[in-house]
Amino acid sequence: MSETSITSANHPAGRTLPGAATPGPIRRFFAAASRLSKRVGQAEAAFILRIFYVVVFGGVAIVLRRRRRNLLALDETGPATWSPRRESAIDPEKQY
Amino acid sequence: MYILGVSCFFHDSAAALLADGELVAAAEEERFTRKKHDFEFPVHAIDFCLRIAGIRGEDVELAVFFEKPFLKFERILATAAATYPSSGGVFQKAMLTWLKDKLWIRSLLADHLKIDTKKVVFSEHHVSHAASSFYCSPFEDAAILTVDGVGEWTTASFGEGHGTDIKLRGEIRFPHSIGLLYSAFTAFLGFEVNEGEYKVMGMAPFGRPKFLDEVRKLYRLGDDGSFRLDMKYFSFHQSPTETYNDRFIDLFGAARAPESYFFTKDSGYPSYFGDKPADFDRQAETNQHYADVAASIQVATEEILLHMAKHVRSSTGASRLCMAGGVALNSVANGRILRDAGFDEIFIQPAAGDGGGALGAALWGYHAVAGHPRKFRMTHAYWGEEHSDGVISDFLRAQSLKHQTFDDQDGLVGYVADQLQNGAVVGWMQGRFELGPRALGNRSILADPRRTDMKETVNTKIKFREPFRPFAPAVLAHRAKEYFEPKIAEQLPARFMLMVADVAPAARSKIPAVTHVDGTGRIQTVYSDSNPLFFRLLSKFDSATGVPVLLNTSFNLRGEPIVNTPAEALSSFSRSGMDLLVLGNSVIKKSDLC
Repeated sequence: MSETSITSANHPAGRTLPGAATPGPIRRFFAAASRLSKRVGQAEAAFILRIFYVVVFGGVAIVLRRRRRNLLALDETGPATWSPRRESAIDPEKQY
Repeated sequence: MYILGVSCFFHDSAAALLADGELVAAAEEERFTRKKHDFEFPVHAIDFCLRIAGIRGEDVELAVFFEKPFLKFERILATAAATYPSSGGVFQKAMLTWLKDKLWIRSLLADHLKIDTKKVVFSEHHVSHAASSFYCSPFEDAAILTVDGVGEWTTASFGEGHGTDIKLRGEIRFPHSIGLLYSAFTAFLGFEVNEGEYKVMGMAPFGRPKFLDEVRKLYRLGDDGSFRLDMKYFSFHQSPTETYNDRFIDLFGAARAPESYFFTKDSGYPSYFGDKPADFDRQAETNQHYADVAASIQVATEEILLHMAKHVRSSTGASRLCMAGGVALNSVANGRILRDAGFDEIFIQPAAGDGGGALGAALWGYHAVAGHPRKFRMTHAYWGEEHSDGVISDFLRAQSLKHQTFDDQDGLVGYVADQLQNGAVVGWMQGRFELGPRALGNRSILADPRRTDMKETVNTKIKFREPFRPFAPAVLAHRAKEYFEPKIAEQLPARFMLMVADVAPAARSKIPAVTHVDGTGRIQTVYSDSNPLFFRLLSKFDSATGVPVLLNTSFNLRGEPIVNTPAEALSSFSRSGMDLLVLGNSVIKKSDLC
């Protein structure tokens, strides 16, 4: 057994880990601007999606529900049973 | 031939790399990014796998994504349409993430690896689960059962595996899901969904299943081993934040406040909670109600799984079962299936949840797409990153830390075993980190299980966690039957801490710190061939004390992923009350930090 004795005055308890240096004021400014811009972008996207959901998707949803009532098996009286799997092999090329 | 499997964009992103059918590396992204259950595209995990194999992205011949993204997208759109106009929140949240990342996984993978998009292929979510278990198992023939929250449409499936052929015969489809049923109770009991399910399992033994009849109102069992939820009690299909509704609350009362202190008269009041409240009895009674709810959903889950497993047994005729999916991490239910479903053997790999989907996808690519025979068998979980003694030594010098370095392993395990039996709590970091959510002796916090107070000591010093959560026993495999239920102890998943076994009545007083309130333990059997150093440590502890068992819990602080690097281990060590840190063959005492 060997022992390495080096000063322990700067032990790492509570110290920032390597690679996590504190950024300067300019970098902080751009980081804040970037965060703000991201939030504005997300709010815009959310607004557009909300309009799309109410106007376009709503119409499609109503038509779909009329044509295909069992979009989702939500009815209380439906049978509890296994659904058969597709017999054919999965096509690895396809994403569906 | 290099095949990369990738899973991401739900929870526990991961990557796994095969070289000519043998697993080279596999890891969850959270270990590199330090974000618990990180679901982002696993850049770091992929690069780690390539680094271990010594290859570049271009060398990957097949990249397999673990599910079919367009099928999943179809399910989300269909669900939003079926529940319009109450699905606005779900729709908005889903579209933001799907349009940004999830629909472009083929090009994301191809661009990152710098390969042709034709080399990126797609498995199915539950096929990946099935493959992750069956292809890793030692079985040539077995029944397969996969159960989780939801994949594309499927929430559970069953079938058979023969050689390289996996055939799934039946499936249960969204929204009928055991995983989502259990998650609804996880949220009701004040825990985070996809994170706190194991806390519900730990809370259950403190209660009695008084609400079993109420829980049974939430589902029906089919004659063919299937089940169906009564959706009028749930909201998870139409809300991004709510999993249950007012009808559910009518059955079980108000939900438990998130992160509130849990204690009952049986658990007592842990000292690390502070001063005992004046209204202890009243609070304990309230908590007892929630423990009873936890016990009820746990028993109900076991009943449903047993119902399914018995059907799988009778319809396939197989005597061996491979299980996967997040629900297969319910180690109490796994034990019950082994005891009561009629199977002789069960196999579950350590990353049974979505993290293991990457592994399953890669194996599916190798066997089902490329058509190669099987050769890989998973006998250990150590597929993550390793930090050599040289790296550790350089790190310790750079940190100017006083430490001891042992030249031989005998000296190291002898010293650590001495410290353990003297009551030290030890951070133990060795070799490659484990795949999956369990620490199995390479990134573990270890302690003496013989001490009655050790559970509270470890909780107080390190984890600051709920008193109802048990600590696991790691035991020498050849001595396991002396201490634990033999039928469980001899199963392969016991080495991955995936089954709860009864502690032998005579042994309970010998290892009180790892015996749960109901007399059980989530056992880990340790073999010399899969983890020789940990085996030697246990053997040394056994020689000194006559007990071949150590308390083993994951090396992390509350809310953080398990540590990977020496820096992370040192950081956790310095922020906790652990007494000793072992990094490879170097030892640091807490007093050395001061």
